[in-house]
Amino acid sequence: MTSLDGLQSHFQHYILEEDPTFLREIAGADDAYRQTRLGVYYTAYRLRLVAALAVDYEILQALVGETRFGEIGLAYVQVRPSKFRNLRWYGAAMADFLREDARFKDEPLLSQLAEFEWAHGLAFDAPDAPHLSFDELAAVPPEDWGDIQFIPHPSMQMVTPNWNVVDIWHAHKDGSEVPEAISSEQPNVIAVWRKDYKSYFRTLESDESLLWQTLANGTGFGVACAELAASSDLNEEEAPLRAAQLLRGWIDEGWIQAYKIP
Amino acid sequence: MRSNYLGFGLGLRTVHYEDILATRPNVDWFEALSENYMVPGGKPLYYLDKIRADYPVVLHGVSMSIGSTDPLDKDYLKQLKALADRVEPKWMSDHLCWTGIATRNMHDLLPLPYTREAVDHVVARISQVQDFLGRRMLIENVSSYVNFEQSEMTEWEFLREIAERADCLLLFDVNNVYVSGFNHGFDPREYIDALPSERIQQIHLAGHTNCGTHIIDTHDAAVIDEVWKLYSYTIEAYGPVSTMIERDDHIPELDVLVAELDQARALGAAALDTRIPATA
Repeated sequence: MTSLDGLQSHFQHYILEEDPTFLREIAGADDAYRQTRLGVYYTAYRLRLVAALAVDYEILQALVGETRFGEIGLAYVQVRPSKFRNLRWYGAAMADFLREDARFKDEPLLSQLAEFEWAHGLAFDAPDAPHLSFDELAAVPPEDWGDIQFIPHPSMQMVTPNWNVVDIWHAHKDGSEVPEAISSEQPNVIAVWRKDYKSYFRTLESDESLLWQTLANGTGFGVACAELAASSDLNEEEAPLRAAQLLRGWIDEGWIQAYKIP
Repeated sequence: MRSNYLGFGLGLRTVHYEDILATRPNVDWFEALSENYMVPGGKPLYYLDKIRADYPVVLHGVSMSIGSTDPLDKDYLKQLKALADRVEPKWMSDHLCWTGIATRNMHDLLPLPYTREAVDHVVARISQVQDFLGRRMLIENVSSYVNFEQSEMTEWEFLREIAERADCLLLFDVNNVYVSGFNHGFDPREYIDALPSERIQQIHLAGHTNCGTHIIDTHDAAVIDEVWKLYSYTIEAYGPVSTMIERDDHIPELDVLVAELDQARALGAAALDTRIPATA
């Protein structure tokens, strides 16, 4: 190990673990002085990462308050040292952390809200792509409709909370009274996406969620309609009509990037 | 006048996007933080493209980690090059520092020891980066809070030798020299006098937080009088250099920063008058 390797290794270990053996490598009158100066780096590391998390998880912070959010942030920083060049991605594992960590896993609302907020971030700066238009779709020959496949817009995100995260999110955004946290047996399927540089989200109906999942996996439209009929109250004649209605809505909202005929 | 002189600029910040497009402020150029635009798509790149259409833009990075003993991150460099191909910046800069090792990132501009070994290491890496990007880099001096026992030279000797051997340009942060001068007890003017004037391509001005025993480089406040005086001294020493205000936290309305930038214009002009007395 060269002296530069050694210094960087010891310095980083000080920032992560406050290892006092590094003090002797710092010039200064005494250890108190050295600790104060190294403390700037030790503190800045944590402050900067927690501040980045507060940007990604604004509503989670509003829900639990600054003090508890600071505790959550520091716990995350301790368990998940950053491996990212770009702070943008540092908070990616927050929902998993809150779901798994013994200190927070008994409050699933926290991880579900985090997941919802992260989905907003992913939709916000997802790759740019066109949105399929009605005119493009009108040009598809009728004989190809059985096989046609749809490519979701890259900004499309789906989350499935069973706690009322949307109501809580809205209340904090609007400054209205925050509802009591409640859960349901069945999860809600919520789409989050971007169109014209604006982010949107809404809850899907159950048959809509079924059809979307099937089509988003690359299944052809004919088979997807058959699966919709098999998995819902719709018969084989009603299912294609319902599917066409849903498809029109998705195109209007910008959920679909393009189609392909295999 | 040095080539590539752009005048007086501001750091491009998200909260000002709409204002910039709506009001076309009296700002000659913008500095965009590279990492903010190293994302797949969406609004950040949309606004950067719009602003780039009307203003010269330079790119300023915080994560190249040019001084780290980890290998250079090729993925990062490829993304940076792709961004440069899109933005066509007037120039690109990063800091004389390291940000982490063993694939970890401390998200800080950590100081290097001022040693021969570190000079050799950094010179080789700047050369690699310049070859890869196909352009000369600007390297910026950072604020620091510690000095290392193993250092063999002053910071300005270290910076000068690196710049000359790597044949790179310099982004001179006046506030950082003030902060480090306060923290380590050196005269910032000695630092300014020692740098190779012809390599100074850009200047940063910013505010900081004075903790009494030391100063922290927080970029969250207005430029203080002592730093303005040092800026005047810098322009007297180097001549006209593209100058900008860098605010990263507690970001005020755009017009507040434009007014602060006007102060830089006035002081810069006065310093040039002092430097080159008007002929009768």
